[in-house]
Amino acid sequence: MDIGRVIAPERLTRSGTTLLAFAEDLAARLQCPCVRLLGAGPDMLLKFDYERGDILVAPRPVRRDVTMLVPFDEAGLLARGNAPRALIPLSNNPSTTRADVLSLLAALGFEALFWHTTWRDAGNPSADARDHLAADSRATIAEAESIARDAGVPFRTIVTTADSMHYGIALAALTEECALVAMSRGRDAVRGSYVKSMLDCSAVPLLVIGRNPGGSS
Amino acid sequence: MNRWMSPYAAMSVILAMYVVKIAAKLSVGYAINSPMIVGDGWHNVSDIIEALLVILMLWLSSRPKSDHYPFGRKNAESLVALSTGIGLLALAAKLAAQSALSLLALVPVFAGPLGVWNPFPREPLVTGGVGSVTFWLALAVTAGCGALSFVASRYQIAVGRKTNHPSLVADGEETKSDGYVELIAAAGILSVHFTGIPKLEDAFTLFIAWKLSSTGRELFLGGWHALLQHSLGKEVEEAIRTATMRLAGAAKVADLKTFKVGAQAVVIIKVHTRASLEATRMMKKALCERIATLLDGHGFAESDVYARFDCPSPDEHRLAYALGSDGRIATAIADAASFRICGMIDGDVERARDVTPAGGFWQVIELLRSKRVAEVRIRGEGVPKEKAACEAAGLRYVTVEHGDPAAYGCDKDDDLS
Repeated sequence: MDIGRVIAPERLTRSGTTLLAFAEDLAARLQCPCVRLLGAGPDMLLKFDYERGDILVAPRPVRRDVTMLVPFDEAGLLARGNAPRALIPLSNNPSTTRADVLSLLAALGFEALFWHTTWRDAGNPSADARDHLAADSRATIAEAESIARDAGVPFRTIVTTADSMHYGIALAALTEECALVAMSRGRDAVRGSYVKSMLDCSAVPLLVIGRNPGGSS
Repeated sequence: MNRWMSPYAAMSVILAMYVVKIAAKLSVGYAINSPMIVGDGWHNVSDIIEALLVILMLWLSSRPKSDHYPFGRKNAESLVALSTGIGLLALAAKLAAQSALSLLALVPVFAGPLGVWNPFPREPLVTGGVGSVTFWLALAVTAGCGALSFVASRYQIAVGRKTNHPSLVADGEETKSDGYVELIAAAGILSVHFTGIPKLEDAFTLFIAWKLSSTGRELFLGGWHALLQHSLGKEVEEAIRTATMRLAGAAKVADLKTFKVGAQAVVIIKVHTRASLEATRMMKKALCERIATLLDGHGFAESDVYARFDCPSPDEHRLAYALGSDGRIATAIADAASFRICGMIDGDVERARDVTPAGGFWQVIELLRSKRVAEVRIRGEGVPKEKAACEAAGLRYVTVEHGDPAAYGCDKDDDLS
């Protein structure tokens, strides 16, 4: 993924100041320009002329095609002294999305923590969650690890049997002291969205890869 | 768990040890006419009663939490530690006094008075002559019992630490102190037999008294701190604060209380956060795990963490932007066509409404004050006279850089109808 610019609304309130500090920190780490849009509201952010590789830092997602980073109340990626680590929940999204995430992590110098949850296989007595993985899940994990290796991103993989996908992701990101959760939007979902669920239950900054960064929404 | 590592097994071994010691000391003591050894044997009978009390405390502390005892009854073990500490300190004081007075008796001016009255007399080893058989029997029973006490105390302390029972550790220290006393007796027997210098025992006793006093102090303070709910210490609390602030979403540690119940650490922490309710559920789980791991690293294998999350103080207040007829922030109050009164909560604009005052400058000030506005904002450098007047009226007068209200989060919300 080519890194473009970091775009952020500039609103001189407490939360606006925190968000802007996060955006500037991100731009400094990516060594790219930070574009501050003074007084930009949702309407202006929706209509802004984004380019390929731009990352919008904003309190809520605005456009599906633009890569977004929601910092919640964090003032910087590593402001709390966390490890430079991003949690990547693995799903059946295409590997191009995963490659975009990993190239961004490589630019940040972050480690990837792949996270996958599986149902328990009733007939399998094993306590190890990996023994309950379906064949396509194993393939997904193997592919993600291969992409990470190619991108030169150090990685670790956690397989678990969480009761709930989004709560499991949110909790894992906190317990592993991740600086970021990186997701992409599901393509096949008819109703409900893990991205929306994560926006409601995460305290760790959330990166959502745009579907077609720089294209029409 | 290995059954020999259970606290009840350890106390059973201790009880058996005391039975053996009593039998050996009383039988040998009476056989060789040794008041010291016989006296020590009867002392061990009280040790059996003490061991039974420890077993009672172990049972009591293992009772589960209840409505009447929300933190359980583990503090019963702290009573054992406290009383054992007091006992060891008293024993150390007695031994030190005995030895000091015995050494003082070497000085001629004190020998006479101490011969008449000695508040801490030492029991003679043997009444009557000390033959070879007497020597070896006395040495065997004192040294043998001493070795038995040391071995048993190490086992008892190890089980106490492994199973997190401070009463077992305290009683183990008390068993060890018995070993020291028996060792002093053996040292006395040896020094008299081989050197003919009975006072060597006194020097050795002073050293033992110092060791017992430091152990007694440690046990006493441990029990005292637990019973009076002393905090876990600055180092632990600082580590908890640091770990909490590393949690994403944590704004501030608003309150922190730590104390012990028996050997279990209890942490009550209140964290300010602006995260959503659902996010705080996950934050709470992660924080409790984090603190429990941290406490384990500080020697608290058992812990209870009570974490609650709350919003930061809302800091509610009102401020007003002077707006010109073009809707931009005006450069003077006198030039304002309207005022946008913003209700601020925690540094963000929660709501805003426009008011158009009638009348002159003072009517404007009066209107703003009636709306409980604390601060009026003007673009640019401001007007000194207006600033003085506002401040005299109790209004803060603040200048801002930008003209667009959107820059300050108080632009019109197009969704409002």
